[in-house]
Amino acid sequence: MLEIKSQLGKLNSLTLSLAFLAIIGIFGLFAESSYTSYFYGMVELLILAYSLNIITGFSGYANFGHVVFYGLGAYFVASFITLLHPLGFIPHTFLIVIAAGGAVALLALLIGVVVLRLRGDYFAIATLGIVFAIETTIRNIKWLGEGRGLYFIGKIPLYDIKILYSYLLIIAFAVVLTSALILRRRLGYGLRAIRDDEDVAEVMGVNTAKYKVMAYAISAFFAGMAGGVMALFFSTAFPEYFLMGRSVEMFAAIILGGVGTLLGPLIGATVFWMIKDALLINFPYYHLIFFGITLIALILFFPKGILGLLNRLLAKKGKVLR
Amino acid sequence: MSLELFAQTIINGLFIGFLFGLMGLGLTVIFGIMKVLNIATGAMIVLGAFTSYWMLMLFGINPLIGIVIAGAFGFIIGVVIYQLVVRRVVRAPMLSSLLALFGVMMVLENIMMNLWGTNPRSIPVFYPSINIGLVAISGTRVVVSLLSIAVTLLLLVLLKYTYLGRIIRATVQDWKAATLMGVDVNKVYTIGFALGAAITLVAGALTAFVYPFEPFAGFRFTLYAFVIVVMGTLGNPVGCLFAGLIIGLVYSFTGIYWIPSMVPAVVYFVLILTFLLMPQGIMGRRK
Repeated sequence: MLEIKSQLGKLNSLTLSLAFLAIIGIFGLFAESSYTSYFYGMVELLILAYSLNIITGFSGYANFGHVVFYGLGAYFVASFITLLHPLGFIPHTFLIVIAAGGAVALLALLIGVVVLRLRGDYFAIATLGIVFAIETTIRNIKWLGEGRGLYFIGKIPLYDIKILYSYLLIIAFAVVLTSALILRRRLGYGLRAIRDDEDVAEVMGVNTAKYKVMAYAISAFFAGMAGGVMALFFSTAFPEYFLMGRSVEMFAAIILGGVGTLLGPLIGATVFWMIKDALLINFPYYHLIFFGITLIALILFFPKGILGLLNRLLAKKGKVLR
Repeated sequence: MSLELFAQTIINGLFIGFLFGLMGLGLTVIFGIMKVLNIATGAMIVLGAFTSYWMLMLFGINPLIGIVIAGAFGFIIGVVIYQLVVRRVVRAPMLSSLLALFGVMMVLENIMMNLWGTNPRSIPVFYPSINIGLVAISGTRVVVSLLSIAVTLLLLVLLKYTYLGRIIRATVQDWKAATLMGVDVNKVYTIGFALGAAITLVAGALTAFVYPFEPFAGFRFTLYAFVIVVMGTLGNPVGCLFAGLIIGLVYSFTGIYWIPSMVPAVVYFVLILTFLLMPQGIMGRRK
């Protein structure tokens, strides 16, 4: 009985997430272009939050360097287009974005094999450093445009923001469905076992190393694609994409919503984006101070996020959202 | 590759290494006592630099005394941050304390930016350099290094020979047992965090002697401090000093023989090597 109920709970969350996402999607698609960019940022954060949730939420590994995959995705798209353009053959740009995501995922496999051997504090430090290491390296490679960024303006047609927004929407639906799938499959159970106690999980026969690296690569895949679309938007990959603050935004989003849940990143990213925008507009110079205070307050007082609060209300009706 | 340049690079690295060691020291004290990783280290370093700078600019206070003031200010800031934020996440999962302190970092950095702008500043101090045979040693760096060593020694004496030090060590060994013996763990943590913050701000005041600084200059130092702390065995002050010297050498060799801006990447590479080859650090015992 309990099993059925929890299955039902997941189904509810998935339907809710998809419906919610569809509403955001429609708003963005049919709004005026200037509003679309607002929704663009929201959906992008949503993808990043969901992808971070796959590694950090499900397996409990605090990945502070998630933004690195976003930046790398942008650089892969820029590199692919720069390489392909002289050949006179450029496939559909969405295919390039997928390829870039794949390349980032491969790179994440390599990084993950090394970095995921570390736990807790060491893992957090290591991922924090990755951002720095990769950014400085890129800034020193001539072919990648050093500090100026890798331009490919004119090599692909300029896109209307609505087309790029629809790319993002497809990725967003994909990441929500993937998250739901992972949660129901062996991988999801394995990851949550790792989160609860990695040593026990290993003794119980969970192939922890493999599961962690898989989760890491999957999360990198989606973050990379989001970065790739951003590169198409500016026709450039900038070193500024590796902004540490982005990593924190993603964290804030999943904590605000509810870490390790299916619905959490969606709620968190949406609410966070609205708060951030309101703060930015009203307090252009001080918004980051407020942002910092909000982050602290969230962690101290609402560690389970908005979903935790909702569940407390729903508990009387015997329902649980995940 | 001339011998002079090589010797000079070593000297430069060593005499900046002591300062790096001090940057790690504040972090390692806090981690050693309460297992909390102070990611706001870089912001605190810059705050220390600013404290000393404004003491000089507004009141004409000698930067050497400014260091002491920075330390005192750091202690106060540390008490405030501990009581407001860290106290509630000390026993929470590591992710919580890291993110909460990330929030602290953002608040500190952006307050500094709003108050003082983003122009790089520096403290105009100059001590004549000393020539020994092939190499010249910058006098400023000698002063900074001596003071860094002095602070480290002071801390060691405090931990080893005072009553407070004994309480701190007892808490580190087993906080539950310490509580049962009548130790007010919360108070020990407050003092520990404040002590770490004070050392970090002192390191910042000394950094201002050598490097220009602006509100967002700190994050690079956080990375270096992390590497030093891990390399020197988490929670070990002496290891911290030695690891600082190693990172100082890495820093100066990368700067002279390769590209200065590649330093963070190389330091990171060293970090990963440390993690993989000797996760216990240079002072750790192999198990």
